[in-house]
Amino acid sequence: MTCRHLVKRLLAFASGELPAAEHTRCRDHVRRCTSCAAFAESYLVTVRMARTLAGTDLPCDVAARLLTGLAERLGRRVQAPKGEGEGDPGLR
Amino acid sequence: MVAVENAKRVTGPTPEQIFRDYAPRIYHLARRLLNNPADAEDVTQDVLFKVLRKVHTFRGDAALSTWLHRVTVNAALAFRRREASQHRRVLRLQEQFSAAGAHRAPIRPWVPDVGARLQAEETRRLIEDAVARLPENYRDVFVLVDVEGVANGEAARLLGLSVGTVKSRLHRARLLMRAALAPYFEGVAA
Repeated sequence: MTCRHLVKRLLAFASGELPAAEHTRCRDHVRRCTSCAAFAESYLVTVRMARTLAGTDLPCDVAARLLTGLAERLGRRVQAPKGEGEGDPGLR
Repeated sequence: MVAVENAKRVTGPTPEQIFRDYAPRIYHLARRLLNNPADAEDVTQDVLFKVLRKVHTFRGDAALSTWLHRVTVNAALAFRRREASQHRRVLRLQEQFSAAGAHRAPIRPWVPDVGARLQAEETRRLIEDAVARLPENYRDVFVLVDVEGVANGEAARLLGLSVGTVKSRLHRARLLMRAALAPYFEGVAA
């Protein structure tokens, strides 16, 4: 088991998809190799970072334009959710 | 007129609820796939309009959520195909191993307070910037699976890929993201 091999198989290792023998070899390598331990940990942190992007709010100006466009296409006003589209009285 | 009639027949969520609950997800998914906020607005407008016309046909949030991903991804990919290829600086991986397969340089652990930094606006911008610089093939998979939380199999269906290709591109995307973020989060060498 080399560092190159560990990094190549990191996704499968981290998600528990490797055959048992290969999983054990990867685990043993990570325990011995401080670089691979740091690499594997930062790889997982990267995944956690990506999840923080979900649930980002709409910028107010984007929300206002979308609401205006929808109102035109639907033929009725769409009320702005609280905090969005504020500043455009036509959306209320 | 059809849309207006359909909107009137909706007995489930109101247009306001649809907008509040789904517009941010649709917009940010489209923005990350397209790398262009203005194009993402156009796609979001179209997808929201479709949602409001068809929302009465869905039973439960899960069905609507799955359908939204599919419609948004299809619309964004169709939009991208119509546009000229974008020339922007994309992330590339440097060879990081010696001939013997060991790391060329020691990998330093990331700073211990990285979790606390994740909510900071500056950190979010760093991550968004790195996502934007992923090559398109990798970015599509990364955005769906790691940002949106879509399962590998569903991402494969949405993108017309095999599950194996999704996993391989996801891994490559994560490596590129890690490499792009490492300079900001690596601790100081002892």
